[in-house]
Amino acid sequence: MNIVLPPMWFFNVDILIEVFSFAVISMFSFLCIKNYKLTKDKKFLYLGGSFSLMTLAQLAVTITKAMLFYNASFVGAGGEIVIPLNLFDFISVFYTVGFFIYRIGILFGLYAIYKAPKDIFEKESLLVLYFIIIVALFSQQIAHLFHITALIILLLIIKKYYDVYRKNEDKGTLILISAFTGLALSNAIFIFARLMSPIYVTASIIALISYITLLVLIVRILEYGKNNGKKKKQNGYNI
Amino acid sequence: MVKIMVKKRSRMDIISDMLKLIRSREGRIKPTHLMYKANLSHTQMNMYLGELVEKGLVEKNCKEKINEIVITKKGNEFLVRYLQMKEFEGVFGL
Repeated sequence: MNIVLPPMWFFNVDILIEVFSFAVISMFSFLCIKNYKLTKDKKFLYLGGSFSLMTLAQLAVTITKAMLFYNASFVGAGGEIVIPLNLFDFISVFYTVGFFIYRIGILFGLYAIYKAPKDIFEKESLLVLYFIIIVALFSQQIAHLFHITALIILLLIIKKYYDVYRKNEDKGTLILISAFTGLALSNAIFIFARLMSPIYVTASIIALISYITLLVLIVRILEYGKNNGKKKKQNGYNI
Repeated sequence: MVKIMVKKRSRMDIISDMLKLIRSREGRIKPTHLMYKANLSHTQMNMYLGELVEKGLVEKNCKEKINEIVITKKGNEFLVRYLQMKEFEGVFGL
């Protein structure tokens, strides 16, 4: 199994970034479920499902990386490492399953965000799921295949929310687009992470900035409710 | 002539409009003011107000012959959650 790792000094920061990403994505899941409980509208359930998938994926990668960083004596100065897969070795099976869940969860979660508010469990999605499983399996050997696929789905998501922004001209949608653009950029940089360890660090920091942007969006949504629905700059009247 | 199609307000929109109005007036409003400001007929107003009182979102307050409708803590919380939901819906274009 091929894994691209950060330099050793960055291990702890990398884990913290994963924990932070997990917290931010789980907040979106929680918001969707809360909205679904209030309205019983399935569109919130579908979007919440996609964020929940990504939450599960982030949890899997956080635990797997923590185990890998603190358990593996073979981890050198960073860069790409190859873990020999021994089916009878619990640890190597654990890494394989952990990264596999992460890749499937992130890719299918992103695809579900792209499809939302439509139901993701329709026939054509089964075909997409099949290809995502193939990509996740091959990514065990060709690590950058995962990032290329994530980048393509993220570009589709950016296009989708750009169309939404053209209709609603909501600053919140613009923040959302910025966050997804950051994630797309980070995935584009991750493709080359095997070349030099600073590339991994740069991509991780861009991902962190994207998740901070998503957190800003959450705070904005929560503040909007407390502010009687008034935005700072607004034309027209509120009743 | 330009025809402007105005989307009809849903039940939830009307309820949130009523609660927003009450909250914007320091939490209390006279029923007639609420009726006019929320663009409701007398019948609609009584129907929605009955529902709001029944669910504990507002209270009718009759002090010194002045009729007032007061938003409750539950009403305030409901409004916050509803507005957050609307903002979320708008951001994601749902």
